[in-house]
This record gives sequence, structure tokens and C-alpha cells, in this order.
Amino acid sequence: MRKITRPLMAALAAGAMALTMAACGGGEDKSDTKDTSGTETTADAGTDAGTDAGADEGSDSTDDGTEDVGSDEGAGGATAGEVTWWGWTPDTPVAEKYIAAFNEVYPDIKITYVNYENADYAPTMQSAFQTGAGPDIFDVSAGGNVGGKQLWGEYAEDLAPYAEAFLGADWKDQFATGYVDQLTYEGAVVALPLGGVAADFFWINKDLFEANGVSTELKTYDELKAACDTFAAAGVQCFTMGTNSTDTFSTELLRTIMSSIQPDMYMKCLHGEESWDNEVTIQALQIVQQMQADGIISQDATSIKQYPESNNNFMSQKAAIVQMGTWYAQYAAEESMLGSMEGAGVSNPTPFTMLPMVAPDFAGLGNVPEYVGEADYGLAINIDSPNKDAAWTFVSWLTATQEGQQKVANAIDLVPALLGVSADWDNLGLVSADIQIPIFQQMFADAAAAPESRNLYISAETGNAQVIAMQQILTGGDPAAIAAQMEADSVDLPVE
Amino acid sequence: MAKSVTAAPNDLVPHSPKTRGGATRRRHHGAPPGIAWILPGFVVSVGLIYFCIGYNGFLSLLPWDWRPGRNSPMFDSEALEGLGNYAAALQKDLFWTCLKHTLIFFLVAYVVQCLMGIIFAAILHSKVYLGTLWKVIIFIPVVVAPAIMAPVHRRVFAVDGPINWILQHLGLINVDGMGNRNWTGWLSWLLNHIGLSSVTPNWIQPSTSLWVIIAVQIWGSIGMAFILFFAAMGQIEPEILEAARIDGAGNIRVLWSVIVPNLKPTIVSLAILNAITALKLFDQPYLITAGGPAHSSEFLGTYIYGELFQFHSKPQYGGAATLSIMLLVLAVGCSIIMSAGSRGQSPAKQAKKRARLAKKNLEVAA
Repeated sequence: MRKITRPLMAALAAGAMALTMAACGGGEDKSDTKDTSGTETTADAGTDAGTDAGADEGSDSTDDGTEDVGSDEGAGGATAGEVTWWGWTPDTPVAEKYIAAFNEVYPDIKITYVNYENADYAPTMQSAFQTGAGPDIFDVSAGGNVGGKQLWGEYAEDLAPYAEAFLGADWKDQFATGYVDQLTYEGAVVALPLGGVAADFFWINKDLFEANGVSTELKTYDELKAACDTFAAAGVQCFTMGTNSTDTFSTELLRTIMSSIQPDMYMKCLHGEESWDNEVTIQALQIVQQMQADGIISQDATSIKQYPESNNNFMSQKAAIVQMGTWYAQYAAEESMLGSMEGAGVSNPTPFTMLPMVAPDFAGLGNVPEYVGEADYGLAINIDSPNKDAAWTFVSWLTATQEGQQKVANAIDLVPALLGVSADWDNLGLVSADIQIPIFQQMFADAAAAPESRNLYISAETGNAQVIAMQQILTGGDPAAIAAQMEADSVDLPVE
Repeated sequence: MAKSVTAAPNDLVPHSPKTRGGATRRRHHGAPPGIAWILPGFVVSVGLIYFCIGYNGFLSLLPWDWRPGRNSPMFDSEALEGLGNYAAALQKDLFWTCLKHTLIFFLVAYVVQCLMGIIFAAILHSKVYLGTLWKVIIFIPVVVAPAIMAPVHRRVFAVDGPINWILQHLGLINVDGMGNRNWTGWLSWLLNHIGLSSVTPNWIQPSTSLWVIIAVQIWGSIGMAFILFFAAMGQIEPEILEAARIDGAGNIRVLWSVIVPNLKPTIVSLAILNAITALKLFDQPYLITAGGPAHSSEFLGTYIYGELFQFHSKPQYGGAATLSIMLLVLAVGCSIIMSAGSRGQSPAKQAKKRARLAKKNLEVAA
């Protein structure tokens, strides 16, 4: 009996070790233009007196966060306190600017921002909320499996009463159309939108285009191919794209191509009105395959990630084109571009002019892919936070005041959520202001008017199915079989 | 000569059953001596590890898509559904894909580790020049954390990375105008004719990503196998080796017929360690290939993580817990089977048996 027991116990211990260590691992590679996972940045603005006051006030309002709204002289909350803010966006330098500007108005509220990588945010938040250690303020997005409202909505204070007290009865109308509704979950406004985002277009390195005599407007597939041939002859990678990740950047190319074949098909598939294994999807997959065969998509697309590798390829000027969204405009300013280029491994970088470019009409049917966009993310207040008043002061200042939204606009990371706010274009330090300003203004205007949502109706299952489809099509898969698998693996989200 | 004395609580000093003052004392049948020392660790072990295993077991009985809400009780007994998740897991293609990857990973990594570990150990037992330096070089990868090395490995296996650079300079790869790497003519012809046309110098792709993970694992673990075999070889009685030499055995014969049979306990231990490593593998596939492309390097560890945080719009706690328990059962099962295979005789008897076998082999060979 003893002979049996001893190895059995050893095996049990070994198995236990295996189980408990099964999920031990580090974070993903870092984007060089993003900050370290879990990087903490603090604006040291609070005084002891202020901190104490804020804590006390916050405690008083824990049971009913709406009681004290508007009772203070600040933006509707406390004027002193300590607040933690966790998010996967914005990048830490951008958050630092927001916080510094906020502290010029509210010097006694100390904001501590912690930036997480996309992949690390959900696990961190899950653990934090389960153990009652969540932040006072956290990012919430309209959809997706990083910070989607369906994930964290129940931990968020309903901000509708706060916003109404602060902005008046017509408060919703003061935000860009649809943004508030996109951040509403089960009847509660779980976050106030900071800004919007749009995608389904390309970014180009204008300097590389001009140096190689390539037009900065590539309107057809053939023009795109000819441009890539020119870049290849010059030893420049044409279009950089990374699919080796669960993030869905690469799927935006599929959507863009589908839009060039039949503009409304992608949304019909998302809403379950069409199955994914339709002719449009199959044709789009074929075009992706053709792009690879023609050297437009490089061979390493399956082995690199959009962040950091593709981003680094573009920022280091190894590649001339990358597919990103409006958020990429933030790197067009000289200061942030230099930081990004150094992060991409360039020593003594010289900034270049980057411009958005409408995606070509891939299918040659006369359909130019339009922008798709929505509220990118909003700021939520933890329903269990002891610092709700101070948190609301920050959230309301950044999302619902002209002053705060001006800072958001000037970061040119987001389309400002509050109507009537636009970037102070002349003072952003753009690399080629005279060229970029009118184009960027048009881009942000188009983004604000995007006719389709970007991620709102894409479930994680559907997003993953599309990522796998892109990976398979780029490694020689059969388009029809891949489309059929997409249909099998996708899950439609309800249309609210 | 002065003797050093270690102070210890009286109750904890293991007394001899023999006497103080000439009288024989009865054996103490109460709490084992030293229990006070191990109690904190024991409590932590049982309280944390085994509780977590038990809680995982409970979660596995909840619906696959169960997720704790803000006010969920810790033990949501109303949601209990039974063993249905286990049947559901067995019906998932990805589960079997992960198991297949685990098995391939285990077999290849284990065999290569054993072979290379034994070879390195044998070579370094024969007074090689700068032997200590070689030992350090072989062992260094063991102490480097996989998370730190993952970005390096991604770069090593990149299309324009060092491996392809070497192959290019060996004349095995061509670089076309687009910067794509392709096999040279004869190698491409050869791969096509042996059914490996899908293998290209783009290593992180469905047909090769699993082998990238295996290669990284081998690189990182050969040092451990080497150290274990090196130590085990030092335990072999010199008389046995001398007897083999006297009987006329050469180096290879001594290695194969005398040394290797004496390494059986180490080989079995390595098998258990490798099996557990394969089952709980997470770091390398998550960080190097993200389990892909298209799940081509997915393992149970990454699958469990994916069920929680990546594959679904909401975490699937029931499913992830079910897969975790299945992983536990597999790990325990493998360990029991492998342990049972090496059990049965005392080490002394096993050594004598191996010596007899070795002698018999030599006689047959002679």
C-alpha cells in the first residue's frame, strides 16, 4: 500500500504544480510606440490636506455617488483627492499630458495612470474587480474583448445622472452622434466617451513615395501593385501587415476589400443577414491571396504582429504603407514621431511626413472603401470606488468640458467626443503642417461621419474567426473553405 | 575537539530511542518530530494549491460560459450543471489539436534532450579541454527566463532573421526582389518531392510554427538534461566500467551497453518532467507564436488562457476550469504511468541487474 501511495502523492504534487503553473507567463511583446505594460504614471499634484479631503469626500459619497454631483466648486465633483486610472489607451505620454493639463485646474487631485497592453488589460481587470482592488477610473470600449462594455459594464457607475447634472437635460446631444449610446449597457451609461476613432484606410510615408516617384493617391489595385513594384526595386517594403496575434488589425484589410466589392456586405454578415461564406467574402480572400502573390503583402505577414513589428517597419521607414486608423495621426507630430522612430530602432531619426490615404478600389467595381468608426473608448467610474467625487471631477473635465476635450483633440489620437471641439491645428508641431493640416481635418471630419461602426458589432468569436481566416489565406488556404470556417466560428452580437 | 551544537526546541530534537541514563525509552507515537517546522509550508500548500485545485473542480461543474458577476457568490451552487463540460471538451477539435501538439512536442523534445544530454555528458566526463566553460555554456539557456528570450526567438526565426541569413549564406535560400525568401532550386525540388512543399523559410506559419516552439524548448532545456545525465554518470561504479573495458568494449559499446542502462532512473525522471512541461506549456507559444498562426502551435495552456481572455466576448470560466482539471488529470496520469514503469526493484537490485545485463551484452557482443 505504501509503495503505491508514495508515487501517487508525488504524481499528485507534480500534477498540482502543472495545473497551478499552467497559466504562468509574461505579457506580449511591447509596441515600441506604446508604454510598458502596467507602466504607471503619476501627476504628483496632491497635497496632504487635499488628499485627505478628497478621501473623506469620496467616502461620504460611496453609497450614493450622485448626491454630491455639482455640489463642489469643481467640475461637479471633489476638488481634492487621489484617483487611479487604468487603461489600455491612451499611451502614457498622452495620458501624462491630459493629467498635467487637468492638474493646472485641479492641483489637489492626484491622478495615477497605469497603462496596460491590450492583451493584459482584461486579465488584470478581471482579477482586480474580483478582489475588490479595481481602479477608480477605467477604460471601457463599445465592443471587443479588451475593454468591451459587456465585460466591465456591471462594475461601472451609471454616469447618466452625473452627466445630466453637469451638462443639463440635453447632455447626450452635446456629444458626437451615437457615442453615448455606444457606451450604454443594459440601460446604464457605463462610460462617458473620450473620443472616437475610425479605420479602413491606409497611412503612407509621403517622403518615401515622393523619393521613388510614386503617386500618393493609389486608386486602383493595379496602381497599388505598380507602386509596390517600384518600392521593391528600391529595396523598400511596400505594405507592412502583421497577423500573428489575436488582435484584429489585420482583419480590417479584409473588411476594406469586402467594402470595395459590396459596401454593405460586411455589416450584413455581422448582423447575421448574410452568411460569411458568401461570394463577396470569398472574392475578398482571393484578393488578399493575390496581394501576397503580387508582392504587395510581404512574406512575413504571418510571422509578425501589427504592434510592434508592422508599426516599427513603418516608423523606421522600412515600409511605405501600413493600415492603421485615425489614432495613428498622433505620430504625425514631430515630437511624438521622433519618439516613435527611436522606439522602432532608428538612431538619430529624421521625421517624415505621414498622410492618410483612402484605400484603393481593390475589386475595380468603382466602390471606394469608406471609413468605419465609433466611440473609441470612454472613462468609467468604478461603482465601488471610494473616490467617486474626485474621479468624476477628472472624468467630467476630460470628457465633457471644452477645456479637457481640447486637450484630447490636440493629442490627435481621437476624434473629440464633445461637439464643437477641434484640434488647435496650427500649434500641434506637425512635421509638414501646410500639407497635413487640410488632409487631417478632412480625415477627422470623415471619421466623425463614418457611416458604419468599426468594432461595435464584432464579437470576439467573429474577430478571432477573421484573424484565423487571414492567417490561413496568407499561408495558402482555400478561400471557400476558409470562408465556410469563418461562418462556422462567428457569433453575431445583438443589434441594440 | 569542540563540537558545534545547533539549538532547537527540545520537543523537536529527534531523540534516540535508546537511553538517557541507561534506561530504554519507548518510541514516541505522537506528532512526528519537526512537524512544527513544516507546518507553515504545509498550510500554505494545502490552503492555496489544493484549495485552488478543488475550486477549479467546482468551477468545472458550472456551465461552460459561466463567469463570476459583481455579486456572484464564491460557490454558485445554483448554477451547478454536472459533468457536461467534460463531454463538451472532448468534442472540441481544438482540444484534440492541443493534445496532438503536446504529444509531438513531448516526444521530439524528450528524445532530442536525452540524446544530446547523454552525448554532452559523456563527452564532458572525458576530460575535455575547457570542460567547465563548456558546461556553463550548455547550461546557461536553462537559467534564462522564456519570457525574456521570447522576443529574441521571434527575431531569430523572423523572415529576415539570423537563421535565414545563415541559410542564405549557405546557399540554401534566395531573396527575391520583394524581399521574400525562397528555397534554392534543388532544395525546393527536394521538399516538393518529399511532401514538404508547405515548408518555407517563413518559419512562423502553420506548417512550421510548432517546430519553432519545439526548437526553442530544446535549446532551453538541453542544459538541464545534460546536468542530470552528467551527475548520473558520476554515480556509475568505476568497477563496472573497468570490467567492460577489460572485456574489450570500446567507447560506443560502453556508452550504449553500460552507461545508458545505468541512466534509466534519470531517463524516466526526464520523461516525467518533460511530460509535465509539455502539458503546462504556455510561455513560449503565447509569446513567440501566440498559439498560431491558425492554432498551429496551440497548447492546452494557451487554449485555457484563450477560453478565458481571448476567444470569447466574455470569459468562459466553466470551460477553462474544465480544461484545467483535464490537464491535471493528464499530468497526474502520465506521472503515475511513468513512475510505475520505473518502480519494482530497489536501486541496489536494479544496479546489480543492470551490471548483469551489461556483462551479458558484452559477452554476446564478444
